[in-house]
Amino acid sequence: MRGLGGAVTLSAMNAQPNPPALPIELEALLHERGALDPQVYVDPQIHALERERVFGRSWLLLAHESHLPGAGSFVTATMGEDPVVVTRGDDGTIVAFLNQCRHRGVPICRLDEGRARSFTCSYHGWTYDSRGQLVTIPNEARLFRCPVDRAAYSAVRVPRIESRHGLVFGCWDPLAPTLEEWLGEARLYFDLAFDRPGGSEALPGISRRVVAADWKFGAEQFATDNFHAPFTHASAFAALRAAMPPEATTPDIDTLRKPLMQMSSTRGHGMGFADDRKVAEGFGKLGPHIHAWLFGPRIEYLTAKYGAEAREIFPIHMNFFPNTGALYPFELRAWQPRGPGRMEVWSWLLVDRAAPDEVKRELRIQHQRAFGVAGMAELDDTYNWVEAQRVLSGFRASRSRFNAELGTTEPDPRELVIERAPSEAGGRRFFRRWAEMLVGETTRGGAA
Amino acid sequence: MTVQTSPLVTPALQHEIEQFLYAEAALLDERRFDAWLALFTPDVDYRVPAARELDAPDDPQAPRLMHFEDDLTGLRLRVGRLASKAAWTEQPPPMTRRAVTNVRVTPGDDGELEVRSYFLLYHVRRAPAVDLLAGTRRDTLRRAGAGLQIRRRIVWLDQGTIVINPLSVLF
Repeated sequence: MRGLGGAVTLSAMNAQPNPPALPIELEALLHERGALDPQVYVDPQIHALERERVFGRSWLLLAHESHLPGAGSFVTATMGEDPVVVTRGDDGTIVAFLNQCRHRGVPICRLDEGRARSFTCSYHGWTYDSRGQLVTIPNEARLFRCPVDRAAYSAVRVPRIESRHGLVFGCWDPLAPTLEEWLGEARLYFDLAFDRPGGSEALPGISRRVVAADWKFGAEQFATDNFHAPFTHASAFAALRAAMPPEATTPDIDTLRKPLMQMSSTRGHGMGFADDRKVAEGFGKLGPHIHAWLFGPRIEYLTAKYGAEAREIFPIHMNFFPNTGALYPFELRAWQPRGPGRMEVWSWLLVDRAAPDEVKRELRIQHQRAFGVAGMAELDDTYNWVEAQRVLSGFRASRSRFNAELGTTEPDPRELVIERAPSEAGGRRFFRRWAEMLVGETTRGGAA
Repeated sequence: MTVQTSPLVTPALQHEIEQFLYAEAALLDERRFDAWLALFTPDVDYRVPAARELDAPDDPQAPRLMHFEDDLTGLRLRVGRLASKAAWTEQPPPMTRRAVTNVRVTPGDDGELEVRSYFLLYHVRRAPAVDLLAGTRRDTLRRAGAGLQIRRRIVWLDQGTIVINPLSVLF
C-alpha cells in the first residue's frame, strides 16, 4: 500500500512488530476513492485500534486556558477514553496526568473543576501534588518495607502539552510532531478561527452530552459537510422565516447561500469558510452587536496580524484532526469516543476577551439556540447520527458501502487543497488520515 | 428543627398553583405548544443552565453556559421548529409524561409568587429505551387577569452530562 511502512518508526509505546490483521479493507480510504465501509463506525476491533493508534498518538483538546485561571486550578478531561486531570502549577505552566491512583487505580479527582493543592485517593489515602507527583502514603514507614519509589509511582504524566490561542492540547506520544507541525499548512485556518482580539475566553461551564453514535460522524461532518444544512435543518429555517421580525436577532440562513469554500488537508483537517465581505451581509441578523464586532475590531485585528488574506477566510465549520471541532464564531467542541458507536460531545462557548459584554451575551444566546444541547440545528444533526448508528446494528446494514464521492477529483498531491464547496474532500482526507494512523504509519505527516 | 411555611400561602393558593403547573405539564405532553407559549409573559426570562459537578452550586445569574437562555422570541422559535413538518426529531415525536411534585410557594414582591417544584420526565423515543430526567424548576409567576403567567423560569436538570439526545423537549 502506498505510503505505508515509512522511514519513521512507531513510538516505543505503540510499537507492534506484527500488527493484527485489520477487520476491514482500508484501501478505499487510503486512496480517497470516495467509498466508505460503515464498519468504521461499529467494529469493536477497529475501535480498540483507534484508541491505541489514533487517540494514543494525536494532539487532543483538553481544556481552554480560561478554565484554569490561576495556580492550583484544575479541570478534569478525557483523552479518548482515558480520564486526565489538567492543572496549572505555581509557575503558571499547565500539566496533565492520568486521573488514576497508582496503588489500585481509583480516580484521584472526582470533580469537573476547582482548585486544589493536592489530590488524595479515597481508597488508601495516597496523595499526589498538583503536578501529579506522589507525595504521601499514610503510614508508609510502618506499612511498606521501603519507601515507595516516587518517580515510578506518580500519576502517569501526559508527556506533551501545548497551548495555541488558549486551546490546551495534550498528546501521549513523545515522538509526535509539535502541535504546529501537526496542523501543518492548515495552521493559518486554525489561527484565524481561534486567534481573537484580546485572546479568547471560554464561558464558565461545559455542555456535555451522550450521543449514541460514533465520534467520526460528528468529526467528519464538521470537517466537510455544509450541504446537509438545507435538508437536515429545514425545520429550524422554517421557524426562523416564520417567526422573526426583520430586525430581530437570529442566525441568517442566507449565509448558507454565499459561495462557500472547502479547505482540506492530508493531515486530516477540514474547514468550510467564506469570504469575509460576503459573509458580513448575511450575518447581519445574528445580532447587531455581533455584526459590528466581527466585521469591525475582529477583522481589523486579524488583517493587521495575518494580512489581507484574513478577509478571504471567515471560518464557518471545521474539524482539526482527530476530534477538535468548531463552529465559528462561538463554539469549540470535542468529539469524545465512548466505546464503539457511542460518544460524548463536549462543548465550550468561546468569546473574544476584548469584545463588549453585549457581544458576548448575543453570542451566548445564539449559540445555545442553534447548537446547544437543545439547539434547533443540533437536534436534527444528533438525530441523523443516532439513527444512522442504530441501523448499523443490523448485520447486512453494517456491510453496506457508503458513498463519499461528492466533489471527487483526481488525487491531489498537495497537502492543502482549497476548492468550491460543496465537496466531501475534507471528509475523505479525514478518513485517509485516520486510516493511515490505523495501519501504523508514522505520526509525522499527512501526505506520504 | 422546624420548617416555616408562610401563612400567606393558603390551601386555596397552593391548590391554584398546583393546578396551573399540572395544566402546563399537560399542554407539553399533549404537544399543544402554542397554548403553552401563551402561559409566558412578554418579558419572560427562561433559562436552563448547564450543570457541573462542583463543590458548591453556581450562581444562576452569572454569565455561563446555558442549555436554554430564551426570551419570548426564542421560545417562539423553538415552538415553531417543533411544529414544522421537517422537524425530523418529531417524526415520530417522543412519548413524554411529566410528573410535577413538591410544589413550594413563597409570596414575592409586587404580588409575584416564587414557586419551586420538582419534575420527573418520562421519555420514550424508541422502545425499549426508556429515559428519565428529573429536575427542579424555580418559577416567578405573575397574576394576569383571572389566571397566572410565568415571568421567569430557571430549570436545573439533574444531569451534568445530558443523556437524552436528541433532547427535543421543553421544560
